[in-house]
Amino acid sequence: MEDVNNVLDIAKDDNLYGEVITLADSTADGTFLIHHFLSFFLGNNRPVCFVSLSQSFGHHKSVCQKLGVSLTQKIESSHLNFFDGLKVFGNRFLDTQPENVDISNTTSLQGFYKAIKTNYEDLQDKNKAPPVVIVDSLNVLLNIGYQVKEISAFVQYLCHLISGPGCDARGTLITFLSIGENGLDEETSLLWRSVVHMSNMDVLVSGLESGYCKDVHGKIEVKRRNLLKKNSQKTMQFKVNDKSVNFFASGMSRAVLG
Amino acid sequence: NTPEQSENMKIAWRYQHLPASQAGHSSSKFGHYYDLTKVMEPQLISSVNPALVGIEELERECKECKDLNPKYKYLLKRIEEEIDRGHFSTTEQTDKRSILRIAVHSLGSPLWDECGGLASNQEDLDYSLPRFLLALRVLMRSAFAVCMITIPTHLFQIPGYVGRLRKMCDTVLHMDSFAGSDKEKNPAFKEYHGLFNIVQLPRLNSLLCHMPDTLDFAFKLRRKKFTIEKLHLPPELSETANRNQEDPVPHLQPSTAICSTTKPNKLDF
Repeated sequence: MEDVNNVLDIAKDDNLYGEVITLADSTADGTFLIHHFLSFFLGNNRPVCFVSLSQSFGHHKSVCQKLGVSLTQKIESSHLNFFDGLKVFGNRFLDTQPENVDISNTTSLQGFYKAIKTNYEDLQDKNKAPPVVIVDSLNVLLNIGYQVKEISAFVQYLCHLISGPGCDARGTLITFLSIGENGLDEETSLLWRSVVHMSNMDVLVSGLESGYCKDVHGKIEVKRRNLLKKNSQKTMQFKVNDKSVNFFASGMSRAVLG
Repeated sequence: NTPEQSENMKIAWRYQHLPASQAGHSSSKFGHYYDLTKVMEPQLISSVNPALVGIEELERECKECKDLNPKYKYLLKRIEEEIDRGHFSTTEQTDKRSILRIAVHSLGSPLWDECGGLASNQEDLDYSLPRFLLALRVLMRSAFAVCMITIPTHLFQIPGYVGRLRKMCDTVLHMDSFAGSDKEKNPAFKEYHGLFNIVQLPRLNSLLCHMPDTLDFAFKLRRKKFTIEKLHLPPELSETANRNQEDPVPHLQPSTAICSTTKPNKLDF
């Protein structure tokens, strides 16, 4: 979605090699960002390793279809690897024999990381451009019992995975996290802060302080940390539509101006 | 300026384009009718063939489990069985497609051997409930079924825990009874029995969820009717704006009428 790219200062042909981006939402739904990045990278023929922990494949497929990307077709052409984390982790608690016992070990995320690494390297072999890893969402891991240290280390390993030799071989890492009402959930906030520390762009979607509004769904804050350029920060309000998101300066929504 | 013109009150230009409020409450009511004085007809129940998982069955059948609360594990097993028995799985072909309705009562309460979300050592978190919800989601996403659970959130002492549970669900509604609180005596609420707030709506298969006009409703529970209505607060008619410290509707800031401000206003001259 072009408007989202504009807010994030991303050009249409930007490759974001070597970048680590943290997406978070607190009191409003920010998951549209995941679908934005999915459609953006897949649209640019970048291979994507999508690790989905909170929703089913069907949901992502439907949303991406509206944004003009067919996930099934991208899987067939080896541009997309969909890791159904919801099933893998959920099945462990159902009576069905867990297939991937290594992956859903309840204390260590090593097995999980190794599986993602295998998928990443597989995409690397089959494509010229380095892959993008998108993880949605880290707080599922926290909720089911993994410790902050373990998840933080897992993200650290992913950062290492995407940093290949030379600038052109570096992949991109995008993680999503729901942090809940500001500061109330200490552990989640701690995890968020440690992941933000590893990233060079962090985005936070939150609800308006004045409460729910049908026409202005929330605000988005974008912070960029770059060693060479000056750090930048941007805040805007937004409204999500069926196939796009509109952004405007605070108080400038058409509904409010009348 | 004819005398009639000066009689009419003019609505501020800011609000001119908005529709005038609907007359009467009837269009914004929603409710179901039943009769608590009567017993349900046996034919109604037998035609549906419901499955009941009662307390005795849970106590008797649940088995030791180190990953999550044994009762939750058993409940998941039973739900899976019911989905198979009634051919509700999305992968199954069937002539008569219907929806399995599942209702779970008081999840997270001591009825399910829970202790405010804490483990037996009273210090660590008990991850059973979030794990249950994750596994439940896996089942629901591949079945023609809907599951409604009630959770007494006032029993959880851990801050942020309820927020986590909410994220593991699709639709979240919050009901707050007025009984026993000072809101019971508030004349603004004499028509209602409690608040009904929409906390979260499902965002599935689309970029956004349904965005209603308001999230704040109130409910009335009677012997033959349960209704949910848009919360209509009567206008503040007293000269001195004397509102309670605690606002009934969360996030609403009390408004001060411009004409009663005592602070010097930059427009005054």
